[in-house]
Amino acid sequence: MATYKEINGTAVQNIAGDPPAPIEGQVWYDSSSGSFKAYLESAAGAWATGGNLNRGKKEGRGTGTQTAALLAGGEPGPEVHTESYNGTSWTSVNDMNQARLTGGMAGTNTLAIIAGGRGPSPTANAETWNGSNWTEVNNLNLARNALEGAGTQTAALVFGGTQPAPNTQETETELWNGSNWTEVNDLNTARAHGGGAGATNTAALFFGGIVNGPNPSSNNELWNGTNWSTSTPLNVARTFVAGTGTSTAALALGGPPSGSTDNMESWNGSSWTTISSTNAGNNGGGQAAGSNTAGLFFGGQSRTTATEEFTSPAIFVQTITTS
Amino acid sequence: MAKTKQYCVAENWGKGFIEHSESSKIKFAGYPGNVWQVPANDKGANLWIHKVLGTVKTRDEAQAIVDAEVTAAQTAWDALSDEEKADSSRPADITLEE
Repeated sequence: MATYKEINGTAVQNIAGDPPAPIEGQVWYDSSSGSFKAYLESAAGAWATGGNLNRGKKEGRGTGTQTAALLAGGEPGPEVHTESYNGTSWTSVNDMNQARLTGGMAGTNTLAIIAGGRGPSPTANAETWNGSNWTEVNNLNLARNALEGAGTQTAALVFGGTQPAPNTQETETELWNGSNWTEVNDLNTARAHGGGAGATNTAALFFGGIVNGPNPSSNNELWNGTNWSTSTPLNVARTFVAGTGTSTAALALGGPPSGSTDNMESWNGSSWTTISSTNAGNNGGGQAAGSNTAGLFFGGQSRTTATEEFTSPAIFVQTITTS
Repeated sequence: MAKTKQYCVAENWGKGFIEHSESSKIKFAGYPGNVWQVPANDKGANLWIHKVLGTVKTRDEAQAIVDAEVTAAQTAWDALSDEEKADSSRPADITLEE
């Protein structure tokens, strides 16, 4: 039988531990653990557990990145509770002034804005986060909950939502200039409980949600700074979707009706692709942050404290075993 | 027919509980009650159960744990107002695979 050296032209390195900068496909023998290892890539990406939330939540709102995220409000409640993630663990920080769930949120974990939501009735209240405290700012023009947000603390966009009567969805879109909210052109399809993405208030994406009463939607709309246009729909119609990313690179995470953990999709600017399932099953009503290559999904169904980190492509050290 | 899934109960401690290298190789499914489903007759899955100090359960034992959690969640959801119900879906029944 041919040896490894005869096949590859080099022998397997003998290293105590792991090499400092392995390259994809590299194989070595770890004399410390007495095992062969490889540095492999999973193009489809992979999920790993992150630090647990301090309080189990669903229907809060998240923003930021995989290593610097913010979670505000949610159930049980509505809550004023806010947590900040540093890539390893969540820390409870100062509360919002207005208890709420399902507000529209945008920004980072040090500069953010949240507007609307239910607390306990649909509210027009808006607050900004400066990394330490929440401050009330001017209200939305239309009080509503289950809306989504995009942009930054000083240039945000909120869209969709629902009014007090159950199953009455809105097309309303409002633009934040750092001081005031202005009504701008409406969505084509009234929806609530969808997922939103967008790093600016001139380029955003709104996907999934509830439409025409209680029906799950696969609808996807793109905002160009002036108008919403219909774009490629999600592969799976669903509600209570968590969204994150930009208008050209986003994640749509979780959501009934399937009740499974398989409703994970990635957007590349023109189409949706199903990605790996989460491990912990924190499905509908979770919150998201980050990008479509380094995402974060936290809380959700059953008010779980679970947090999962998505990395694509996933590159990792794998111990080689026989099975 | 040989079973294709196995179950354990293990508390998710957060970072490091499931690594990228594990989820790339093992199909995990988490359920209410800290119930975890992983492939049966799989060395990697067995090593993971050992790592997380999981307590192995039969499918019926795991189903009973999940049922109790889902029933409690459904009871809590049924007690919500109509407005509150509109903000979340009723927890669905879960049937674990053999």
